[in-house]
Amino acid sequence: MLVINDLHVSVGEHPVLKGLSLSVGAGQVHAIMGPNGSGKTTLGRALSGHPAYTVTKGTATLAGKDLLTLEPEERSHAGLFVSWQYPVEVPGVSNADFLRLAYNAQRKAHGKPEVPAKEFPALLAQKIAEARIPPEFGERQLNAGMSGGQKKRNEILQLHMLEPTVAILDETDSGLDIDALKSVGDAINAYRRADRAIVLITHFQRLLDLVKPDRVHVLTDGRIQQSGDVDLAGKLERDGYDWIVRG
Amino acid sequence: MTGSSVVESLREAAQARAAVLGLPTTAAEDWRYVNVAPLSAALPPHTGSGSARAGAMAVIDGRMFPEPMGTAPSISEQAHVDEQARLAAEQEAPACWSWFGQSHQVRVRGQQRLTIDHHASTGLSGWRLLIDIAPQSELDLILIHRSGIGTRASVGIVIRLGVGAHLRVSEVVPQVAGQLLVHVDAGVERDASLTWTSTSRGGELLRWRGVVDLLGTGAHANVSAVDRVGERNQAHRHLRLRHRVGPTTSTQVFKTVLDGHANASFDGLVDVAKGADGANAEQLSRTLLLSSTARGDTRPQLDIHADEVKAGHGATIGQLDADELLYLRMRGLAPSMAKGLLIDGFVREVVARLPHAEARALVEIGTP
Repeated sequence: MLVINDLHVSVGEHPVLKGLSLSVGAGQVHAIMGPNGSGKTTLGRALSGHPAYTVTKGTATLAGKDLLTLEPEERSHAGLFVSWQYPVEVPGVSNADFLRLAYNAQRKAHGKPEVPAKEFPALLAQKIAEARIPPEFGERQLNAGMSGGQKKRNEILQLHMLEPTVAILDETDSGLDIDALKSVGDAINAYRRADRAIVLITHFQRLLDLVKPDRVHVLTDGRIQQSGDVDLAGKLERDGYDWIVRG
Repeated sequence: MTGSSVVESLREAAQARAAVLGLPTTAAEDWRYVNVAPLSAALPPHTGSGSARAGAMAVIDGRMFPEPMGTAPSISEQAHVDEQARLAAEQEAPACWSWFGQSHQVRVRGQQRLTIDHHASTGLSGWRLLIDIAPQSELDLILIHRSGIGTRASVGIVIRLGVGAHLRVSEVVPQVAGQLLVHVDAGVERDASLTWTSTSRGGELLRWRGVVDLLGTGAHANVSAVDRVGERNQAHRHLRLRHRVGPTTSTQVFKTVLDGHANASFDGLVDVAKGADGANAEQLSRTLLLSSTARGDTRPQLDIHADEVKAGHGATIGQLDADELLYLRMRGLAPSMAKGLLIDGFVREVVARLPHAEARALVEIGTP
């Protein structure tokens, strides 16, 4: 579903990803772990079309579609969702208005009729329940005035609303208290489906205890250096990254 | 002196005063950001009793105010004396023009609601409103200005808020106007409050000037405005908020969205007098520039003469936030829709402060 081959990405003159290859199949959950500065966030940002991240070499396709030639909104329409490690606050814009416009933009891109404003609250309520977040999130402003954990949960609401085929969740577990982590884990599991793929970028095993990955990858120095099953995450938790970095 | 001659004498005095002052120029500090060229155009004045209507209409609790073909101006003898003194001290000819038309006095006892739908349909017009709110009384005022191309309207509003009184104003300029000059002079006594929220789309020349005096302990003023200005229109806000005593509190939020060749400014001064300890003042000015050919000026100022004061101000002029724009696009919004949503969000902070739902409904928010 998501196929990345020999991806090289620079920020300014500084190369960050140096030949990353990854293939995530439909119905799978992959976890990417790695030390700070290894390129985990860069991967999501480059795939989503962030202008500060320049792809200098390689390919990335989603269901056979070349992502790298598309504008950010077109990548979203193609089925890609990348959460932000630090979601931006957009004061004055209500969550409900934003989600309705974003949802309808997706439908319009796929030739489907837009959902009228009067019918949207019922859909929003359903998605809020699926995302395991408090109902009042719909009335709040887009990430503005939210705690770090609330912003992460708000992005899980976006995930459920926009129904992408590939979701890259960047440190979604950071800033969450124990109960919120459990809720987010449940919401991600509820999102899993045979025709969807999820990539979890995380530093800790705690999220992977809740959302069992099919594969775990270790990203160091801009490349996937090691891959394995869920036991690899346990080894990293115990032994750190040194044994991989040293080879 | 009869009511008619009271106003006639003020009108003649105002014309004389305006002639002495002459038209403002950008050499005057208070007009330095304004394109004053539109003021030099000759416009036919309203004359004689015809000015009694001056395109203005007010309704109080369903009753038209003034009476549809009103005759006697309803200002008291004391108000007349006060107006004469105020006129004599007036420093701006455009403010003098507000004396040219009819003057009314509204005395509020208890709780009242007043809607003024101000239409300027032709030429030069002016009117004045004196609002006297008794202690412990409240007034909700919705003020709507509509003006056509080629009009010049000068409005003077004088407010006296008694002890513990409250005034909530929603002021809306819902469509591109001709020239509109609004002058507000408010005195706020002990434990009284003034909330004035204004929105506009600018006009050939829109200039709003306010002077708010916090006169008694516990007095509070909250003044906010948002102007969304395009083409070659102008919107200028000029506020003097004076803490005469302490503790008193004030907040200001002024926002502007500029596109095309628009020209707008905010010139705001918080003045805390000597001895006004315990004053607390917040002032924020934010300008969003959507066009490289638009011009926005902001001049926030604090003038503090007391020792124990909390005062803060901030001013920004900038473009749409690139990260916010990217975030919306990454969720599937086309650039034009993402920009529109961000602009609406910027504007909405002030629109949401309009105290009255009817006024909020008049302000177009572009979110479909």
